[in-house]
Amino acid sequence: MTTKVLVVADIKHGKLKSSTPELLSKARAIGAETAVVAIGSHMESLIPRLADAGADTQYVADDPGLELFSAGPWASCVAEAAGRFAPDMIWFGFSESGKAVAPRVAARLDAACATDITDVKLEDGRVEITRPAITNKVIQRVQVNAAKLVAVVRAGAFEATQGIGGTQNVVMLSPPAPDAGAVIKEIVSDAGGEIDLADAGIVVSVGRGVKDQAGVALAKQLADDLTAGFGSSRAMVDAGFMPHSKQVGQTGKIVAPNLYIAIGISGAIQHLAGMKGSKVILAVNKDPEAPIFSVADYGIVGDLFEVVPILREEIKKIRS
Amino acid sequence: MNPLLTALLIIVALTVFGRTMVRKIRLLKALQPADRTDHLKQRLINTLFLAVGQKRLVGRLKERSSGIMHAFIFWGFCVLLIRSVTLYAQGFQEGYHLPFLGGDTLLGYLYTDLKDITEGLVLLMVVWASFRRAVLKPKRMPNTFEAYLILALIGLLMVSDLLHDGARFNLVQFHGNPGGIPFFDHPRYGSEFLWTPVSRGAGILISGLSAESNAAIRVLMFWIHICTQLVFLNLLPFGKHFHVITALPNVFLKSVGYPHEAPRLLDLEDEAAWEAESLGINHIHQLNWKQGLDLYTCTECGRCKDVCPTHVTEKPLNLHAFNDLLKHELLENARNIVARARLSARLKQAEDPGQIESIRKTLFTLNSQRRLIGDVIAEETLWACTTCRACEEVCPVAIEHVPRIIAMRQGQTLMAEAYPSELNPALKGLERNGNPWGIGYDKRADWAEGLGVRTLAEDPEVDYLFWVGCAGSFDDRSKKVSRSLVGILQNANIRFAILGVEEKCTGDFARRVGNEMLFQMMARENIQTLNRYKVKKIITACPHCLNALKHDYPQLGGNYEVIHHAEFIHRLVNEGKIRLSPSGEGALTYHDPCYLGRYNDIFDQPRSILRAVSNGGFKELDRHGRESFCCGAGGGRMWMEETIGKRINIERAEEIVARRVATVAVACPFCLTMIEDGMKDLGREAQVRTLDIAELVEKNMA
Repeated sequence: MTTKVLVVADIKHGKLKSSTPELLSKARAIGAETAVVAIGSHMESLIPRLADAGADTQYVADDPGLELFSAGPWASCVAEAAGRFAPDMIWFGFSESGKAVAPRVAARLDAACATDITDVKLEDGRVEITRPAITNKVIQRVQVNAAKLVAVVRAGAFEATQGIGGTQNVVMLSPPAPDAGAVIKEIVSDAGGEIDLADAGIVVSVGRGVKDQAGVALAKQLADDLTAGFGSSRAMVDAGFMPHSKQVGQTGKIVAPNLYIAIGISGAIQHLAGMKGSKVILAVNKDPEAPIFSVADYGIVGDLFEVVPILREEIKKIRS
Repeated sequence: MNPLLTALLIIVALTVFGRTMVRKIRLLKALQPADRTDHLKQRLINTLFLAVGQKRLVGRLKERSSGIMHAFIFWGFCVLLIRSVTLYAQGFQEGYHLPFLGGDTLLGYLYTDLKDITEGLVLLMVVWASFRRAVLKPKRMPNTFEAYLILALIGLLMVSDLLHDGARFNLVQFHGNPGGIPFFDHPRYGSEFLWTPVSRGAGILISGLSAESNAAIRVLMFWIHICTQLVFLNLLPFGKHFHVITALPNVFLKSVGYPHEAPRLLDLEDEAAWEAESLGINHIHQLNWKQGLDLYTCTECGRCKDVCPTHVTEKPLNLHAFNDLLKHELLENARNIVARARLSARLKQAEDPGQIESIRKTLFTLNSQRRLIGDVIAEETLWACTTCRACEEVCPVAIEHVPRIIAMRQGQTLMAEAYPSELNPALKGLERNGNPWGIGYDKRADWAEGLGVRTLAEDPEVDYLFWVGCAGSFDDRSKKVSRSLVGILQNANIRFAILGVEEKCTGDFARRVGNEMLFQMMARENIQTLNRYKVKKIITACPHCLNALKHDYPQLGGNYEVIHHAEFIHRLVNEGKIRLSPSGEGALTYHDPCYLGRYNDIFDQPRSILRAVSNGGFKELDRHGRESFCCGAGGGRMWMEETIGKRINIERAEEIVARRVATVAVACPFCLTMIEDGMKDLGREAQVRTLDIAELVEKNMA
């Protein structure tokens, strides 16, 4: 019997996020029968994309009441899709909403639940998952004995296969009852349409070395070029150049992007604590002794007003 | 005068006063237990210096003028107590005097003289106090009606007695003593009135009046004096002047050994305690009786907020208001607290499960309707405290503010799970990697690479363990301090080792933010490691580690001799194991770390070292020693945002810059970060270097 995997689509601002095709590609790659469940409102334009991403069946809950995320109703939709599809595994991409819904679904279906998965293997019908433990010091390989597994996959763990496609086979789900406990009326975000630091693949951050508004503006241009999140060390927040919501560090936001560009940041431990999980760190600083260089993968010693324009130019060249 | 009236007045006044006091004491007895019966000798010494000697009133230069005023009023009251006894007795028997204080002994004359001058002095002090309040208006004090009322009553007490004696003098000297008023007259010492210049002066003011008027004034003033005194006594318990009665016991019962009440080792396995929500302080009835007595005693003088780093930088923690809010919450719930205590006692004896259940339910209904944090005290007020203890060092009546704040944080963290969320990464880091930054624990000994430092695992036979601490292990800036200290120890041929990756955060900050569970977890693991290696002596460069190892760990079975590096270096210099020669440090100053100075009484050793390495002179900061100003990072504040008011470290950095020094020495990794950061923010890091004592010593070793 083929293993069946139900992927929960990650939709933000009406767009499908990269985790959905990644997860579906992986499900295909291990030879599973795939389905996706997409929840939200005004979903018509999204449905073809779901099939393209590699889902054989698309369960869609489309209702004005699902405009704003709420864990309870979301879990009901996933459970309903699971009831129809009868999957062996339900996969969530890594997101705050995924983390909130996954345990609820697991509880409703009496399934096992595993988070922060980096790999899944199928051997003789048995599921083996891989996940890091003890802050990435060891990798656990876990054999799953439960009949059903709900898993949250680490961001970027799987790669999307281009053009795998799927058949369009849409099953509309009935809208769930509203959450009995609380109804989300509005989501107030102070990011104001800017890129969320915690989600951004690239983060550009400024520190004391940036000195003034002109330096901040220059770094912001670089961030915009890269569609990167724009962060700051505490010194720039104190100096009033950046809002507190942009502070990266021990007592601010903790980020782990693929690329972290630190401009004029000396790298005090309080700041490092907030970005040390970044995959690649690029530091630009005048002072060759700055501690940031001890954690940086790439370092540029120089004045940001010279370095950043060159960086921007080179990025444009590569892009064009 | 009139035995019947005197007796009546005394009986009525004492009955009312007794009732009040019984209520006050009953409320204290209903609070939680606290053992304050040990160290009798130390307690007497404390009382002698702090209460009788008025040490914190006259001893502080900044507050000396008001301190002397208060001291004279206090000492005046002590002298005049004897006079009062005599006066009450004279209500029954004209001319009564205490044995040995009569007109036939020199002692009697001396006392009369002393009493007369004292009354004059106290009156002067009342005038000065009123002037100070009304005209000078010191910022730290709220001006209240009660304050003026009490000053007026004290003034009235003095004036009435002086006029009473003045009228006596007039009757005897100028009117042939009609009615034969008794007075001292001795062949050698002469007339009583030769010894009483002040009352004689008062007498002269009314000497123009007739004999009858003077006689009437004498009687009237006697009754005014007695009645004022009895009214005064009965007013005291209802306001801040209760301290007149409670200050002496409060000082006598203050904590000894550790500068304040040590955090209680909570039994986290006690399921009943979790169920009864009795871990930490969540409701007013969970204060202990000594904390209740502290509230009775607070005089609202405001010295605490004057020295408080958070109040000075416009944060919402205002300690005398804090005390006042708690006191009102205590008094408003007095009835329920007493009933609760009675029920709790019954619960202990109850055996029937049904009865136990019903008592438990009733107990919950007797809790205050207000949450202590949130309704009575604002959350940001509770979390503002840096636990620096400056308030406790200046409090004239030895109120212990900090242990209460920590216990309330325990309540917030353990029971309410409501604590600043910025703390989470640091707490999680501690849990997972044994350090607040969450850096991989395997990197803990990387700083020591190439220095030839051995670990205890490699050489368990060393004399000293160097406890590096998290900052010294992971923070680039503090790693330099660790390396300097290693250089010093190696230079002095000290046999030492480190724990390496086996060391973990002591849990100090977890305890100060009320996370007793995490603190105990860290402490137990560390103690297990330390005891396994049979560690006896520990050197550390971090005052927070020092304090936890020295004072917190014995509660869990970890007993070591713990020495701060400033203390140890001082010892090495004295023993001639290292020699210092100054080489151009410029003018130096020193920033006292709270947990080294106020918590552990180490003030002189760092200064002695700094004098030896400085060639540009050593200058004290304005706020130094016991009254040093916190850097802002203590009590877990290092791991929280400081968003209200001015930054504490900036305030301190400005003070240092104003002193015009080339170097500021510190002796704590957190102070190092905060002060250096302050200098950077002010753009002064090039002019004023921030260095640890170990770095200065290493550079200046001969």
